[in-house]
Amino acid sequence: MATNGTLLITGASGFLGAHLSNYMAIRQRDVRCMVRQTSETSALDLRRVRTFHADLLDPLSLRTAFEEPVHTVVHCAATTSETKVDYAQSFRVNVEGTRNLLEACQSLGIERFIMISTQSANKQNPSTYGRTKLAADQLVQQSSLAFTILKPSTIYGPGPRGLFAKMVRLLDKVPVVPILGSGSRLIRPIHVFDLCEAILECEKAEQTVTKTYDLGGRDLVSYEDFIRSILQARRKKKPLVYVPISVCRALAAAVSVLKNPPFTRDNVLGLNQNQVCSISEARSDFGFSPRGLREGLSQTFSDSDAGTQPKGVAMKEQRRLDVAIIGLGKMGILHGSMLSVIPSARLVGLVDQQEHLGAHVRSMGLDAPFYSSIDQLLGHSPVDAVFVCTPAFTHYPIVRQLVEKKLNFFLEKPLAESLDSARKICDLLTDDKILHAVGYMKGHNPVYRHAHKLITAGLLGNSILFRSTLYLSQVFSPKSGWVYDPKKSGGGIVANSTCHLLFLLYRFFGPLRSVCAQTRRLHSEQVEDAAIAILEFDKGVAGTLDTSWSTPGYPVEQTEIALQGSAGILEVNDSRLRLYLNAKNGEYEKGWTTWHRAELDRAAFDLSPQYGGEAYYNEDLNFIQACQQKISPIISCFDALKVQEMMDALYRSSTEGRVVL
Amino acid sequence: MNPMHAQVILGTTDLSGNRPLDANSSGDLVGRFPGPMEIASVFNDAAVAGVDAVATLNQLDVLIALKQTRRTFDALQVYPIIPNVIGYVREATDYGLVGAARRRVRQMGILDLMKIGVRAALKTPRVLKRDFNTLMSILFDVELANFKALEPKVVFLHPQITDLALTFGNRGLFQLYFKTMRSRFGVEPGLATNNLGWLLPKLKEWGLEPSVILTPFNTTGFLMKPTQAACEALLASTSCAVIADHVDVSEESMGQYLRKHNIRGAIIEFRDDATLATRIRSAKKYLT
Repeated sequence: MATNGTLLITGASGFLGAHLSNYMAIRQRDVRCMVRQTSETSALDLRRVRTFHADLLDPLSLRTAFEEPVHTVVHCAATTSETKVDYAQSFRVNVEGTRNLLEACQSLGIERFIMISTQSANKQNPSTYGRTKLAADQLVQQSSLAFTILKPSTIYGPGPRGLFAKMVRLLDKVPVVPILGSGSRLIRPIHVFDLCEAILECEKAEQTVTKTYDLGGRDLVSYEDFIRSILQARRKKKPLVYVPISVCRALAAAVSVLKNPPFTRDNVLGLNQNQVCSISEARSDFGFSPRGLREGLSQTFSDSDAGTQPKGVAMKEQRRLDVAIIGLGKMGILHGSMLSVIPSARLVGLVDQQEHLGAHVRSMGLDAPFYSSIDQLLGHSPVDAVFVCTPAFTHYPIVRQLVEKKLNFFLEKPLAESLDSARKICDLLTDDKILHAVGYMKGHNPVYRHAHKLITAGLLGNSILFRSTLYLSQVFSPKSGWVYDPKKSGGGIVANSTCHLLFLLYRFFGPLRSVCAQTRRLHSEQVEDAAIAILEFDKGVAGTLDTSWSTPGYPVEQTEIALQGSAGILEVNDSRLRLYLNAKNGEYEKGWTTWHRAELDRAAFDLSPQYGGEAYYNEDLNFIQACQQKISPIISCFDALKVQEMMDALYRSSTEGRVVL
Repeated sequence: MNPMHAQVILGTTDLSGNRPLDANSSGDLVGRFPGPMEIASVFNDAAVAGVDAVATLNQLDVLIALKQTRRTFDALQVYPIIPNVIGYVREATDYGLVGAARRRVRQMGILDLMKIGVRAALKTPRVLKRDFNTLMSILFDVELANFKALEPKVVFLHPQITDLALTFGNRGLFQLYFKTMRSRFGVEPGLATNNLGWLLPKLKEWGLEPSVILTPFNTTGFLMKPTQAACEALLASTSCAVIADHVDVSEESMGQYLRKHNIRGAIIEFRDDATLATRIRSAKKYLT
């Protein structure tokens, strides 16, 4: 369908309407924002969108809406459950207003109409909001327009407006968090940008016309988990208290006399209902692929969602993070490149013992002051965080220095050249205000992250067996350099490359219980070129690992993991995930389901697709956001210590010729 | 190149294993393509099916194969993608930057070596300081010397170099590249990128516009950064021709999508012998 025409958005000053307007404008759409004369429009990016005054209850004013040609109308305007309950007013706006708009659209032959409805719009929901929105949906369905109705679950996202922002403000203030009811009702919270993307995509997809879609986030969670996730994302620990629904209703009635009540009767009625919406139809019809709750909340409380977040609607203005890089080899340059496209980071220093590298990276365009030591850097530049991209054997002394200065740091993998050094690094980390991350980038690869989600959801059943491989064509003759010196790198293929695979196995299955391994030198003089191992984890998980950097045919490193469980099979590599289920399980059908990297990759930048470049972007963004929000990054030094223990056990098993427990 | 003329271009990443496949496929490809002759047989089949060009990195076996195919199919164009970053990074890891450069130089003919040697000698101070743009200009010389016999008309800057220079704001490299390609080699400079939505605004800001860009463009939005919608919108405002990568244009819907965005050129990768010719013919049909 043609989708380059003007977009008219009603309710454009509201939470969703403002985000949608800015979102569409950034994507080069011509956006006309319909607002009332009394509307507060500060959330709109007025450099990019055009506003005009009209009122759904005034059919004459609606004429101005269509003075210029409009291709698509997105109807966001509504009286929501956020405001004081007033059935007559809700009916006028939600039902009569929609009717007026539909009549205007039909008379002018508007090509496309997208109705923003709600999960509350169902016959079981007795709330004023739910009933009036359901009636409005029915009017849309009776119209002659090419309509699509979208029914989102609870919407969250950045910005000071809307129910979510109100909830966050309340959570920030109260010493004890009231949970309405048991907190067990299920919801699928959706990030506002995922909803915007869905609107954009469904407008384009012809098969969505006259259809109604449930929309929600990737994660189906209880209301209590949702609240806990918000508290966690905001690094707040508060006790929860459960308030029975009957008490909530009474309280809602009591506070309804206030001009701006903290919650309403409709909120209570809504909170008593499950919103187990299925997003599979949206996924198949227009490729809807929302983010997870943890990721979404992390982005909500940050202003750094590069390329997607409209300006001026961040929850809170955050200062850019001043970052330095230590080590200007390949990885230092790669992180420099990533940091250059993450708007919330500012590169303030480059450090390397080899001074000529300073001139070299400057000639590449990386324009930050160069220092030949960490002391020199810290003496000149205030730094919030440091990326350490030096060989593994240098990590411990560098971390000691950074911890003394209480600096957050990101370490390239592995954690250290030996288990002893790795433990010493972790022993330094007693101050939990210092945030740390380790560059096991496959943990940020969206395909493996999705696999992790499916595995931890228990889709494969119990007693999992797995096969895992990592191959690379790198070593076919003796080589020199620190990588091939076990005292500096910690070993050969296992310490330098297979540690990524070991991290994934740790992430999927938890700590290792036992290993029986053999390693072999095929070409190298001091380190192993290949290894084979049988690994056993808790909960009956066992499998094999087969790895080599001396196998022809793999100029680009290739990792694969195949799992077999009582309920199905899962196969995953860097670019594809396949799941076979013996029987339908929730939203997952019986038989094969495949996810390609294309469906899951949401990174805004990719320097090296062959090497899983989106994961490098994601890991740097995660670390920067974690530092800004003062929350722990996804992969910490303590996770990396577990990998180091696995490597050590594997090497010991091979050397000692026995199973290591 | 004429942006309105449909062009089906055979990529060589799968022939040389540079794209991650599954474990078995990678092994199979090694067995399928042990040397230049086997690669040339694919080029011959592709040329018979109507492929217009081959886009490739500087890989010895592929270049030998191309020279063989060109003896029969002299209209087959070659689009070099330079420098061969993957190969160079691998060698730099093993032998260091200087060692890697030395190995590249050894692959060249005496005459080219002398010419480049003289030019490089004039740049010695900047080479010793490891000035990036100077090293890149020498790499351009070294790599294009290997393509000389194939008389390319369009050359692409490797996406990792394009995108690295983009993130570091290295306008000088783009200027150097455009100038070197046009004035020294008489070829049209193209840019390959995996971050179209970042590149186009920056080039506009710098007042630079390549005549052709090689970039992922597909219905799923794969590698269309920062978003598919942004790339689509930016493409509408540029006049440079685009060749789509990471796209299966042998599917009608993909062809329609590309045509809708005024794209008439697409890379098609080798998957297997049985379907290659059919896919090329379909791609040609859907792009026209």
